[in-house]
Amino acid sequence: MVKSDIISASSANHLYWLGRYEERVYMTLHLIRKQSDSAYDAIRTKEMMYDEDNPESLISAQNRAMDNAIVLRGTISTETLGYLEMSMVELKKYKQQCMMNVTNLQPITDWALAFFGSAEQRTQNHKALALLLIGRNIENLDMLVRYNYSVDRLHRAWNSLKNVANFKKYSDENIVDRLDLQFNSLETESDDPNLTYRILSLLSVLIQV
Amino acid sequence: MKRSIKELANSRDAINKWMERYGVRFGIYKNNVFHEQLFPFDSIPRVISHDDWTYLEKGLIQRVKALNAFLWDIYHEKNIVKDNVVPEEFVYASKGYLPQCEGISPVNKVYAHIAGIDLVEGKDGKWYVLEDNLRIPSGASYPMMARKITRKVSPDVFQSVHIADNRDYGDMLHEMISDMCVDQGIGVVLTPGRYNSAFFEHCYLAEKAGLTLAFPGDLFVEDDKVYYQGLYNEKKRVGAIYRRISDEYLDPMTFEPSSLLGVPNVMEAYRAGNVALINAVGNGAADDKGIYYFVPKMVKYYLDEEPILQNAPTYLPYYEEDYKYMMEHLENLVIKDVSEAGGYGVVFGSSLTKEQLEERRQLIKEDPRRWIAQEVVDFKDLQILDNRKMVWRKADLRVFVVSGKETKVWKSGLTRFSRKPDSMIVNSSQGGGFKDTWVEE
Repeated sequence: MVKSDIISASSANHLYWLGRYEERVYMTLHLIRKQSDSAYDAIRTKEMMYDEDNPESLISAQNRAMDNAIVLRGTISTETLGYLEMSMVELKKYKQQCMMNVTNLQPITDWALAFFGSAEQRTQNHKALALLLIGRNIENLDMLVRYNYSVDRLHRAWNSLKNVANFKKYSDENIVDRLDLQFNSLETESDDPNLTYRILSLLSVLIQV
Repeated sequence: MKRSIKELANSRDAINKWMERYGVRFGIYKNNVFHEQLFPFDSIPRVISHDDWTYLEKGLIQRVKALNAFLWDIYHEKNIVKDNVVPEEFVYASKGYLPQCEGISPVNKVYAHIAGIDLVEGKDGKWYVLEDNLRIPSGASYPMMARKITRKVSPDVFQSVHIADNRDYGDMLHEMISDMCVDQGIGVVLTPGRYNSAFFEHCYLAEKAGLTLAFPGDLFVEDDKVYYQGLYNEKKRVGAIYRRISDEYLDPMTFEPSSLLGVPNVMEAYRAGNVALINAVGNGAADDKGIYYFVPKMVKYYLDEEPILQNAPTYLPYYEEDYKYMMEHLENLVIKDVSEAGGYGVVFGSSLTKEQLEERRQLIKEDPRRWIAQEVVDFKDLQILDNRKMVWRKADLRVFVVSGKETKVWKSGLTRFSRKPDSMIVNSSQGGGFKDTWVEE
């Protein structure tokens, strides 16, 4: 009796969103650090880190990542899930202590990276891994677009996404073509205020799970 | 051995940190709100001698074989009833008896593929069976995880002790499910979902046994065959379902029609022999506390052997002599409601007032079939670390017996202890903790 590599629709959904939310944890911390360096705002930083009612906060992203991961233990492995468990425990502790020095949250960043590394090593189902990494890359690109990163950076992220294994299998070909057009027009139409909106809208429907 | 145990006691904090890291939890509902909590773990193991284990192993294999034979019999020829060994009403009035299972022939005649037998060691050194759990016995994942972690934290301890390795439970499950699997289909663990109290175990066992975890809605039946629904209309034939959903919710077309947790028509696939259900449906007829009284008789009847393991001394008010004894000695007995589980419905006569004892007598008189009573077995206490102090607490042992082509006993078990002094209620749902169980080689 061999374990199947078939994935149910609900598992596919959880894998995709796990990839997205955990990447959101990583990117949110990165952005908070960047912001703290340029113009520190204690109230805004606290909201971005610990406000569980704020869907954009770090802790909200970690909670959502955990909600998706907890049902995927058998797919991603207990060891991989362990990185999120530790992250949750520490984040709740930091919230209680009202830890505002974002440098002290470095372990959360480390565990986010370790989570993806462990997932790549230990996830035996290649389809499952593909969905996780597609989610990760989409979130990465989504956040780079929202926060106005350079055109060069956006191109690299878009190409990374397209090169993820099984990307073609899970993506809508028409949407890929339209996104290609949008990214190609970034240099010439960077002043178009609707360009960001168009890209984000297309990204949200790119993957059919 | 003593030095090793001391070292484990000192490693308690490190071990508990790993438990937290691996999310070793169970869920409970308090006031209808779901809470998850870490299962309190005590790092000092229970140690069972080689000789004791040899005795237990023989007795458990014998007992489970007899129980499987009983289940086959009551859903087929019913000889044990015809021969007046077990009264008819004990079988057919049992909540766990399901007429929908009449005539169904599970592969190898095995009903209880995974049996969780609860034992206690008395202060007199004798072992007694407290309960047979044949429906969905829970708890194997905790000692699996405990051993994994303690080996990680204190590897040198395991170089100096000679105990059976318990990391083979996943393999035992895989082998048994492969034996039972129909038509080379896949094996799945069917879980009711994230908010089931044993969800951690469902996931962990699926992972370790190489099975696919399936949620309600992931399985469907077509032409009396069960399939796992994949993405984009992909489907895969299922040969065996290790179901962690109770009988009444398993198939809304056969049992509880409002159930959203089950797989419609799975009983038809089962009846047609197209899928194995682990454990079989209808096992509740044999793990009813009333039927427990008859297990030693089953051993004699089906196997023509003397039972190796003893029940705790038990009284069945169905029988006049036992009824009289119970009425006269109720304050000294443990009274159990046969329909309850998880430590619920268990009352110590000594904890009841005079009025409460009278009420209980009345309940027993009105419905003798509903009750059993047992002598209070003075459990052996085990040492527990409580706030860095060594204390003594009551503990039981759940041993897991796996039956595929062969019946094997996992050389480990879930030792559960009460955290309250002098309390004999050890269940996790009622605040108990657990230890690893070492079997000496």
